[in-house]
Amino acid sequence: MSIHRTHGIVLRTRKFRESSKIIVFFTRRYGKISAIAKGSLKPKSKFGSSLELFTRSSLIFYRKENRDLHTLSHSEILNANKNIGNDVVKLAYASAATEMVERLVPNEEQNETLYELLDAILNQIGVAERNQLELILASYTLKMLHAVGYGPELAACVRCGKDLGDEVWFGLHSGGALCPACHKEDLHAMEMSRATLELMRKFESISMARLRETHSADKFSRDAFDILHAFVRAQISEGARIRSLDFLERMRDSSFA
Amino acid sequence: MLGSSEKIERLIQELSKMPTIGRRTAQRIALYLLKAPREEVTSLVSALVEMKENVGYCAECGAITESDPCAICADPKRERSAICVVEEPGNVMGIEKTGEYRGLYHVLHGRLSPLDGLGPEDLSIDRLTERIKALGVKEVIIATNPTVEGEATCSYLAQVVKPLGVKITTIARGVPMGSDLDLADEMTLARSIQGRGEVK
Ligand SMILES: [Zn+2]
Ligand SMILES: [Zn+2]
Repeated sequence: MSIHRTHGIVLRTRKFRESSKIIVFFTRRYGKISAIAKGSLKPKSKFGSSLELFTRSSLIFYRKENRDLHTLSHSEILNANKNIGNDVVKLAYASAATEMVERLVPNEEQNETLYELLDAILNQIGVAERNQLELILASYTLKMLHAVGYGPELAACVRCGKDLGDEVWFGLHSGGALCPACHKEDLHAMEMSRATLELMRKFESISMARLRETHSADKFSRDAFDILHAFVRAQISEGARIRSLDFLERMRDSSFA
Repeated sequence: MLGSSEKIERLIQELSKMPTIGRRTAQRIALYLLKAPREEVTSLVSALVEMKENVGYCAECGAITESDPCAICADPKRERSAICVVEEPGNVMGIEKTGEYRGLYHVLHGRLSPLDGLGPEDLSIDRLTERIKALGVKEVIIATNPTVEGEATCSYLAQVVKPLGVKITTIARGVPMGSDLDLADEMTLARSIQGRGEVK
Protein backbone atom coordinates (compact mmCIF):
# COMPACT_ATOMS: atom_id res chain seq x y z
CA MET A 1 0.00 0.00 0.00
CA SER A 2 1.38 3.40 -0.92
CA ILE A 3 0.27 6.95 -0.26
CA HIS A 4 -0.28 9.46 -3.06
CA ARG A 5 -1.01 13.17 -3.27
CA THR A 6 -2.46 14.95 -6.25
CA HIS A 7 -5.18 17.36 -7.35
CA GLY A 8 -8.37 15.97 -8.86
CA ILE A 9 -11.73 16.94 -10.35
CA VAL A 10 -14.87 14.92 -9.53
CA LEU A 11 -16.33 13.31 -12.68
CA ARG A 12 -18.95 11.06 -11.08
CA THR A 13 -20.02 9.76 -7.68
CA ARG A 14 -22.14 6.88 -6.58
CA LYS A 15 -23.38 5.66 -3.26
CA PHE A 16 -21.60 2.63 -1.84
CA ARG A 17 -23.11 0.63 1.02
CA GLU A 18 -24.88 2.67 3.71
CA SER A 19 -22.76 5.75 4.09
CA SER A 20 -19.87 5.73 1.64
CA LYS A 21 -19.32 6.96 -1.88
CA ILE A 22 -17.19 5.82 -4.77
CA ILE A 23 -15.81 8.77 -6.67
CA VAL A 24 -14.32 8.90 -10.15
CA PHE A 25 -11.72 11.68 -10.29
CA PHE A 26 -9.65 13.04 -13.09
CA THR A 27 -6.36 13.78 -11.39
CA ARG A 28 -3.35 15.78 -12.44
CA ARG A 29 -0.77 13.07 -11.75
CA TYR A 30 -2.62 9.80 -12.29
CA GLY A 31 -5.35 10.59 -14.81
CA LYS A 32 -8.72 8.94 -14.22
CA ILE A 33 -8.93 7.04 -10.93
CA SER A 34 -11.70 5.63 -8.74
CA ALA A 35 -11.55 5.89 -4.98
CA ILE A 36 -13.81 5.00 -2.11
CA ALA A 37 -14.50 7.69 0.50
CA LYS A 38 -15.63 5.83 3.57
CA GLY A 39 -18.36 7.49 5.62
CA SER A 40 -18.60 10.40 3.20
CA LEU A 41 -22.42 10.42 3.20
CA LYS A 42 -22.59 11.05 6.93
CA PRO A 43 -23.37 14.70 7.69
CA LYS A 44 -20.30 15.06 9.87
CA SER A 45 -17.93 13.44 7.39
CA LYS A 46 -14.44 14.95 7.20
CA PHE A 47 -14.86 15.13 3.42
CA GLY A 48 -17.52 17.84 3.76
CA SER A 49 -18.73 18.91 0.33
CA SER A 50 -15.38 18.27 -1.37
CA LEU A 51 -16.71 15.23 -3.23
CA GLU A 52 -19.50 17.00 -5.10
CA LEU A 53 -19.52 16.84 -8.90
CA PHE A 54 -17.12 19.25 -10.66
CA THR A 55 -15.28 20.14 -7.46
CA ARG A 56 -11.51 20.41 -7.72
CA SER A 57 -9.70 19.30 -4.59
CA SER A 58 -6.30 18.37 -3.32
CA LEU A 59 -6.37 14.66 -2.56
CA ILE A 60 -4.50 12.09 -0.54
CA PHE A 61 -5.27 8.48 -1.31
CA TYR A 62 -3.92 5.01 -0.61
CA ARG A 63 -3.31 2.73 -3.44
CA LYS A 64 -3.21 -1.02 -3.43
CA GLU A 65 -1.24 -2.68 -6.20
CA ASN A 66 -3.32 -4.34 -8.90
CA ARG A 67 -6.52 -2.80 -7.65
CA ASP A 68 -8.70 -0.35 -9.53
CA LEU A 69 -10.36 1.05 -6.46
CA HIS A 70 -8.21 3.14 -4.15
CA THR A 71 -9.01 4.56 -0.73
CA LEU A 72 -9.39 8.29 -0.29
CA SER A 73 -8.07 9.50 3.03
CA HIS A 74 -8.24 13.27 2.66
CA SER A 75 -9.60 15.91 0.32
CA GLU A 76 -9.70 19.67 0.52
CA ILE A 77 -11.55 21.97 -1.86
CA LEU A 78 -9.49 24.11 -4.21
CA ASN A 79 -12.42 25.23 -6.34
CA ALA A 80 -16.04 24.20 -5.77
CA ASN A 81 -17.32 25.58 -9.10
CA LYS A 82 -20.38 26.68 -7.16
CA ASN A 83 -22.08 28.51 -10.02
CA ILE A 84 -22.81 25.30 -11.88
CA GLY A 85 -25.35 23.88 -9.43
CA ASN A 86 -27.47 27.03 -9.55
CA ASP A 87 -28.58 26.37 -13.09
CA VAL A 88 -29.72 23.11 -14.68
CA VAL A 89 -28.46 24.28 -18.09
CA LYS A 90 -24.95 24.80 -16.73
CA LEU A 91 -25.21 21.48 -14.92
CA ALA A 92 -25.97 19.78 -18.24
CA TYR A 93 -23.01 21.39 -20.04
CA ALA A 94 -20.61 20.64 -17.19
CA SER A 95 -21.85 17.04 -17.07
CA ALA A 96 -21.23 16.67 -20.82
CA ALA A 97 -17.68 18.02 -20.42
CA THR A 98 -16.84 15.54 -17.66
CA GLU A 99 -18.73 12.55 -19.08
CA MET A 100 -16.89 12.77 -22.42
CA VAL A 101 -13.60 12.52 -20.53
CA GLU A 102 -14.91 9.63 -18.46
CA ARG A 103 -15.91 7.72 -21.61
CA LEU A 104 -12.90 8.52 -23.77
CA VAL A 105 -9.91 7.99 -21.50
CA PRO A 106 -8.68 4.72 -19.97
CA ASN A 107 -8.00 4.45 -16.24
CA GLU A 108 -4.80 5.75 -14.71
CA GLU A 109 -3.14 7.38 -17.67
CA GLN A 110 -1.60 10.72 -16.79
CA ASN A 111 -2.68 13.58 -19.06
CA GLU A 112 -1.90 16.99 -17.62
CA THR A 113 -3.13 18.85 -20.71
CA LEU A 114 -6.52 17.23 -20.32
CA TYR A 115 -6.59 18.04 -16.62
CA GLU A 116 -5.94 21.71 -17.36
CA LEU A 117 -8.61 21.71 -20.07
CA LEU A 118 -11.19 20.19 -17.77
CA ASP A 119 -10.39 22.74 -15.09
CA ALA A 120 -10.67 25.54 -17.66
CA ILE A 121 -14.01 24.45 -19.14
CA LEU A 122 -15.62 24.12 -15.71
CA ASN A 123 -14.43 27.62 -14.83
CA GLN A 124 -15.72 28.95 -18.14
CA ILE A 125 -19.12 27.30 -17.72
CA GLY A 126 -19.32 28.91 -14.28
CA VAL A 127 -18.81 32.43 -15.62
CA ALA A 128 -20.42 32.17 -19.09
CA GLU A 129 -23.83 33.41 -20.08
CA ARG A 130 -26.27 30.68 -21.09
CA ASN A 131 -26.10 31.65 -24.76
CA GLN A 132 -22.30 31.19 -24.82
CA LEU A 133 -22.32 27.64 -23.47
CA GLU A 134 -22.78 25.84 -26.77
CA LEU A 135 -19.85 27.71 -28.34
CA ILE A 136 -17.41 27.09 -25.49
CA LEU A 137 -18.37 23.44 -25.09
CA ALA A 138 -17.80 22.86 -28.83
CA SER A 139 -14.39 24.49 -28.51
CA TYR A 140 -13.57 22.40 -25.46
CA THR A 141 -14.62 19.23 -27.27
CA LEU A 142 -12.17 19.83 -30.11
CA LYS A 143 -9.32 20.66 -27.70
CA MET A 144 -10.17 17.58 -25.65
CA LEU A 145 -10.14 15.35 -28.75
CA HIS A 146 -6.61 16.57 -29.52
CA ALA A 147 -5.56 16.03 -25.90
CA VAL A 148 -6.68 12.38 -25.92
CA GLY A 149 -5.23 11.58 -29.34
CA TYR A 150 -8.42 11.64 -31.43
CA GLY A 151 -7.88 15.16 -32.80
CA PRO A 152 -9.43 15.49 -36.29
CA GLU A 153 -7.41 16.80 -39.25
CA LEU A 154 -8.73 20.21 -40.27
CA ALA A 155 -5.85 21.82 -42.15
CA ALA A 156 -6.33 19.85 -45.37
CA CYS A 157 -8.37 16.89 -46.69
CA VAL A 158 -7.64 14.05 -44.31
CA ARG A 159 -7.65 11.44 -47.13
CA CYS A 160 -5.81 13.08 -50.05
CA GLY A 161 -4.07 16.01 -48.38
CA LYS A 162 -5.42 18.58 -50.85
CA ASP A 163 -6.30 22.08 -49.73
CA LEU A 164 -9.94 22.58 -48.88
CA GLY A 165 -12.23 24.85 -50.86
CA ASP A 166 -15.74 26.07 -50.11
CA GLU A 167 -17.31 22.63 -50.24
CA VAL A 168 -16.25 20.68 -47.18
CA TRP A 169 -17.38 17.54 -45.36
CA PHE A 170 -16.40 16.08 -42.01
CA GLY A 171 -15.63 12.37 -42.13
CA LEU A 172 -16.59 10.65 -38.89
CA HIS A 173 -14.68 7.54 -39.92
CA SER A 174 -11.84 9.28 -41.75
CA GLY A 175 -11.18 11.53 -38.75
CA GLY A 176 -11.26 15.00 -40.26
CA ALA A 177 -12.22 17.34 -43.08
CA LEU A 178 -12.84 15.91 -46.53
CA CYS A 179 -12.70 17.41 -50.03
CA PRO A 180 -15.57 16.91 -52.55
CA ALA A 181 -13.74 14.03 -54.25
CA CYS A 182 -13.02 12.11 -51.02
CA HIS A 183 -16.27 12.55 -49.10
CA LYS A 184 -17.91 9.69 -51.01
CA GLU A 185 -15.28 7.32 -49.59
CA ASP A 186 -16.57 7.89 -46.08
CA LEU A 187 -20.07 6.53 -45.47
CA HIS A 188 -20.29 8.68 -42.38
CA ALA A 189 -19.42 12.08 -43.82
CA MET A 190 -21.34 15.11 -42.59
CA GLU A 191 -21.67 18.15 -44.78
CA MET A 192 -20.29 21.30 -43.23
CA SER A 193 -19.89 24.88 -44.28
CA ARG A 194 -16.61 26.60 -44.87
CA ALA A 195 -17.50 28.97 -42.01
CA THR A 196 -17.90 26.01 -39.65
CA LEU A 197 -14.47 24.73 -40.67
CA GLU A 198 -12.96 28.17 -40.03
CA LEU A 199 -14.65 28.29 -36.63
CA MET A 200 -13.23 24.88 -35.71
CA ARG A 201 -9.76 26.07 -36.73
CA LYS A 202 -10.29 29.05 -34.43
CA PHE A 203 -11.18 26.63 -31.61
CA GLU A 204 -7.74 25.10 -32.07
CA SER A 205 -5.87 28.39 -32.01
CA ILE A 206 -7.41 30.44 -29.20
CA SER A 207 -8.26 29.79 -25.56
CA MET A 208 -11.83 29.22 -24.39
CA ALA A 209 -11.69 32.40 -22.29
CA ARG A 210 -10.62 34.43 -25.34
CA LEU A 211 -13.26 32.75 -27.50
CA ARG A 212 -15.97 33.65 -25.01
CA GLU A 213 -14.89 37.30 -25.06
CA THR A 214 -14.59 37.65 -28.83
CA HIS A 215 -17.26 35.38 -30.31
CA SER A 216 -20.94 34.91 -30.02
CA ALA A 217 -22.99 31.83 -30.77
CA ASP A 218 -24.52 31.47 -34.23
CA LYS A 219 -25.61 28.71 -36.57
CA PHE A 220 -21.99 27.79 -37.28
CA SER A 221 -21.26 27.17 -33.62
CA ARG A 222 -24.38 24.96 -33.52
CA ASP A 223 -23.03 23.02 -36.55
CA ALA A 224 -19.59 22.67 -35.00
CA PHE A 225 -21.19 21.48 -31.77
CA ASP A 226 -23.24 18.82 -33.56
CA ILE A 227 -20.42 17.58 -35.81
CA LEU A 228 -17.83 17.38 -33.03
CA HIS A 229 -20.19 15.49 -30.76
CA ALA A 230 -21.12 13.07 -33.53
CA PHE A 231 -17.37 12.52 -33.86
CA VAL A 232 -16.99 11.90 -30.11
CA ARG A 233 -19.81 9.35 -30.27
CA ALA A 234 -18.04 7.62 -33.16
CA GLN A 235 -14.99 7.10 -30.90
CA ILE A 236 -16.74 5.26 -28.09
CA SER A 237 -17.72 1.63 -28.29
CA GLU A 238 -20.93 0.82 -30.09
CA GLY A 239 -24.00 0.87 -27.89
CA ALA A 240 -22.31 3.03 -25.26
CA ARG A 241 -23.92 6.40 -24.74
CA ILE A 242 -22.95 9.77 -23.45
CA ARG A 243 -26.09 10.51 -21.50
CA SER A 244 -25.34 14.16 -20.80
CA LEU A 245 -25.01 14.88 -24.50
CA ASP A 246 -28.37 13.17 -25.14
CA PHE A 247 -29.77 15.26 -22.28
CA LEU A 248 -28.39 18.49 -23.81
CA GLU A 249 -29.99 17.68 -27.14
CA ARG A 250 -33.34 16.91 -25.53
CA MET A 251 -33.09 20.13 -23.53
CA ARG A 252 -32.39 22.11 -26.68
CA ASP A 253 -35.44 20.64 -28.44
CA SER A 254 -37.81 21.25 -25.54
CA SER A 255 -38.58 24.48 -23.80
CA PHE A 256 -37.70 23.27 -20.33
CA ALA A 257 -34.75 25.52 -19.81
CA MET B 1 -22.43 -22.69 -13.54
CA LEU B 2 -23.12 -24.21 -10.16
CA GLY B 3 -23.14 -27.96 -10.57
CA SER B 4 -25.76 -28.78 -13.15
CA SER B 5 -28.95 -27.43 -11.62
CA GLU B 6 -30.85 -25.27 -14.04
CA LYS B 7 -33.17 -24.32 -11.19
CA ILE B 8 -30.35 -22.82 -9.13
CA GLU B 9 -29.07 -21.05 -12.20
CA ARG B 10 -32.49 -19.49 -12.75
CA LEU B 11 -32.59 -18.26 -9.14
CA ILE B 12 -29.10 -16.76 -9.50
CA GLN B 13 -30.21 -14.92 -12.62
CA GLU B 14 -33.27 -13.52 -10.86
CA LEU B 15 -31.26 -12.44 -7.81
CA SER B 16 -28.55 -10.76 -9.81
CA LYS B 17 -31.11 -8.41 -11.38
CA MET B 18 -31.32 -6.67 -8.01
CA PRO B 19 -29.36 -3.52 -7.18
CA THR B 20 -25.87 -4.05 -5.71
CA ILE B 21 -26.18 -7.85 -6.16
CA GLY B 22 -23.56 -9.24 -8.49
CA ARG B 23 -23.33 -12.80 -9.70
CA ARG B 24 -21.10 -13.92 -6.87
CA THR B 25 -23.39 -12.53 -4.17
CA ALA B 26 -26.38 -14.08 -5.96
CA GLN B 27 -24.64 -17.46 -5.84
CA ARG B 28 -24.00 -17.06 -2.14
CA ILE B 29 -27.66 -16.21 -1.48
CA ALA B 30 -28.85 -19.14 -3.58
CA LEU B 31 -26.64 -21.58 -1.67
CA TYR B 32 -27.79 -20.09 1.61
CA LEU B 33 -31.44 -20.59 0.64
CA LEU B 34 -30.75 -24.15 -0.49
CA LYS B 35 -29.43 -24.97 2.96
CA ALA B 36 -32.04 -22.96 4.91
CA PRO B 37 -35.09 -24.65 6.52
CA ARG B 38 -38.14 -24.84 4.30
CA GLU B 39 -40.17 -22.49 6.59
CA GLU B 40 -37.59 -19.73 6.19
CA VAL B 41 -37.86 -19.89 2.42
CA THR B 42 -41.68 -19.96 2.42
CA SER B 43 -41.75 -17.04 4.80
CA LEU B 44 -39.46 -15.05 2.47
CA VAL B 45 -41.65 -15.84 -0.53
CA SER B 46 -44.85 -14.82 1.26
CA ALA B 47 -43.20 -11.58 2.47
CA LEU B 48 -42.29 -10.75 -1.12
CA VAL B 49 -45.75 -11.50 -2.48
CA GLU B 50 -47.52 -9.67 0.33
CA MET B 51 -45.36 -6.61 -0.15
CA LYS B 52 -45.97 -6.61 -3.87
CA GLU B 53 -49.72 -7.04 -3.48
CA ASN B 54 -50.28 -4.54 -0.71
CA VAL B 55 -47.72 -1.77 -0.99
CA GLY B 56 -47.55 0.86 -3.69
CA TYR B 57 -47.18 4.57 -4.28
CA CYS B 58 -49.74 7.15 -3.24
CA ALA B 59 -51.40 8.53 -6.37
CA GLU B 60 -51.46 11.96 -4.73
CA CYS B 61 -47.97 12.48 -3.32
CA GLY B 62 -45.93 9.49 -4.52
CA ALA B 63 -45.03 8.25 -1.03
CA ILE B 64 -44.87 4.52 -0.26
CA THR B 65 -48.19 3.42 1.16
CA GLU B 66 -50.50 0.47 1.85
CA SER B 67 -53.60 2.57 1.21
CA ASP B 68 -54.28 5.04 -1.54
CA PRO B 69 -54.30 7.94 -0.79
CA CYS B 70 -51.65 7.52 1.91
CA ALA B 71 -52.27 8.21 5.59
CA ILE B 72 -50.74 11.68 5.33
CA CYS B 73 -52.76 12.76 2.28
CA ALA B 74 -55.92 11.32 3.86
CA ASP B 75 -55.40 12.98 7.26
CA PRO B 76 -57.82 15.94 7.56
CA LYS B 77 -55.61 17.49 10.25
CA ARG B 78 -52.64 18.00 7.89
CA GLU B 79 -52.28 21.55 6.59
CA ARG B 80 -53.14 21.64 2.91
CA SER B 81 -51.48 25.01 2.38
CA ALA B 82 -47.92 23.65 2.38
CA ILE B 83 -46.20 20.99 0.27
CA CYS B 84 -42.70 19.74 1.00
CA VAL B 85 -40.97 18.39 -2.11
CA VAL B 86 -38.42 15.58 -1.66
CA GLU B 87 -36.40 13.35 -3.99
CA GLU B 88 -37.20 9.88 -2.58
CA PRO B 89 -39.96 8.23 -0.51
CA GLY B 90 -37.44 7.58 2.28
CA ASN B 91 -37.07 11.34 2.78
CA VAL B 92 -40.75 11.57 3.82
CA MET B 93 -40.18 9.11 6.65
CA GLY B 94 -37.10 11.08 7.76
CA ILE B 95 -38.94 14.40 7.98
CA GLU B 96 -42.01 12.77 9.59
CA LYS B 97 -39.82 11.39 12.38
CA THR B 98 -38.86 14.93 13.41
CA GLY B 99 -42.54 15.72 14.15
CA GLU B 100 -41.82 19.32 13.06
CA TYR B 101 -43.88 19.42 9.91
CA ARG B 102 -47.68 19.38 9.54
CA GLY B 103 -48.12 19.93 5.82
CA LEU B 104 -48.24 17.57 2.83
CA TYR B 105 -45.45 16.01 0.80
CA HIS B 106 -44.59 15.47 -2.82
CA VAL B 107 -42.06 12.83 -3.89
CA LEU B 108 -40.26 13.53 -7.17
CA HIS B 109 -38.82 10.00 -7.46
CA GLY B 110 -35.38 11.24 -8.46
CA ARG B 111 -33.53 14.41 -9.31
CA LEU B 112 -32.49 16.09 -12.53
CA SER B 113 -29.33 14.29 -13.58
CA PRO B 114 -27.77 14.72 -17.03
CA LEU B 115 -25.18 12.04 -16.12
CA ASP B 116 -27.92 9.51 -15.44
CA GLY B 117 -30.08 10.81 -18.28
CA LEU B 118 -32.89 11.95 -15.95
CA GLY B 119 -34.81 14.98 -17.23
CA PRO B 120 -37.93 16.81 -16.00
CA GLU B 121 -40.21 14.31 -17.79
CA ASP B 122 -38.73 11.52 -15.66
CA LEU B 123 -39.77 13.22 -12.42
CA SER B 124 -43.20 13.81 -10.97
CA ILE B 125 -43.24 17.53 -11.77
CA ASP B 126 -46.48 17.95 -13.73
CA ARG B 127 -48.32 16.20 -10.92
CA LEU B 128 -46.76 18.67 -8.46
CA THR B 129 -48.03 21.73 -10.31
CA GLU B 130 -51.49 20.11 -10.63
CA ARG B 131 -51.61 19.52 -6.89
CA ILE B 132 -50.43 23.05 -6.06
CA LYS B 133 -53.32 24.44 -8.13
CA ALA B 134 -55.94 21.94 -6.96
CA LEU B 135 -55.14 22.23 -3.25
CA GLY B 136 -54.64 26.00 -3.22
CA VAL B 137 -51.15 25.57 -1.79
CA LYS B 138 -49.54 28.74 -0.40
CA GLU B 139 -46.00 27.53 0.35
CA VAL B 140 -43.76 25.03 -1.43
CA ILE B 141 -40.80 23.86 0.63
CA ILE B 142 -38.11 22.35 -1.57
CA ALA B 143 -36.13 19.72 0.32
CA THR B 144 -33.97 18.17 -2.41
CA ASN B 145 -30.60 16.75 -1.36
CA PRO B 146 -27.75 19.22 -0.80
CA THR B 147 -25.83 17.96 -3.84
CA VAL B 148 -25.03 19.70 -7.12
CA GLU B 149 -27.85 17.83 -8.88
CA GLY B 150 -30.22 18.36 -5.95
CA GLU B 151 -29.52 22.11 -6.02
CA ALA B 152 -30.04 22.30 -9.77
CA THR B 153 -33.33 20.42 -9.35
CA CYS B 154 -34.30 22.92 -6.65
CA SER B 155 -33.61 25.93 -8.86
CA TYR B 156 -35.46 24.32 -11.76
CA LEU B 157 -38.50 23.59 -9.58
CA ALA B 158 -38.48 27.15 -8.25
CA GLN B 159 -38.59 28.37 -11.85
CA VAL B 160 -41.54 26.08 -12.65
CA VAL B 161 -43.51 26.86 -9.50
CA LYS B 162 -42.91 30.63 -9.35
CA PRO B 163 -45.58 31.54 -11.97
CA LEU B 164 -48.19 29.88 -9.75
CA GLY B 165 -47.74 32.70 -7.26
CA VAL B 166 -46.84 30.61 -4.20
CA LYS B 167 -44.13 31.24 -1.62
CA ILE B 168 -41.06 29.06 -2.28
CA THR B 169 -38.67 28.13 0.49
CA THR B 170 -35.87 25.61 0.89
CA ILE B 171 -34.81 23.74 3.97
CA ALA B 172 -31.79 25.30 5.68
CA ARG B 173 -28.56 23.92 4.31
CA GLY B 174 -25.08 24.09 5.64
CA VAL B 175 -23.23 23.37 8.85
CA PRO B 176 -24.53 20.17 10.43
CA MET B 177 -25.58 20.18 14.09
CA GLY B 178 -22.79 19.34 16.47
CA SER B 179 -19.97 20.24 14.12
CA ASP B 180 -17.44 23.07 14.42
CA LEU B 181 -17.49 26.15 12.13
CA ASP B 182 -13.71 25.97 11.86
CA LEU B 183 -13.96 22.58 10.25
CA ALA B 184 -16.70 23.43 7.75
CA ASP B 185 -15.47 23.88 4.20
CA GLU B 186 -16.01 26.93 2.02
CA MET B 187 -18.99 25.51 0.14
CA THR B 188 -20.80 24.39 3.28
CA LEU B 189 -20.24 27.75 4.99
CA ALA B 190 -21.36 29.65 1.90
CA ARG B 191 -24.65 27.72 1.89
CA SER B 192 -25.10 28.38 5.60
CA ILE B 193 -24.67 32.12 5.12
CA GLN B 194 -27.03 32.18 2.13
CA GLY B 195 -29.68 30.23 4.02
CA ARG B 196 -29.36 32.18 7.29
CA GLY B 197 -32.51 32.62 9.33
CA GLU B 198 -33.87 35.24 11.66
CA VAL B 199 -33.31 34.63 15.38
CA LYS B 200 -36.66 34.50 17.15
ZN1 LIG C 1 -9.55 14.62 -50.55
ZN1 LIG D 1 -49.94 10.68 -0.22
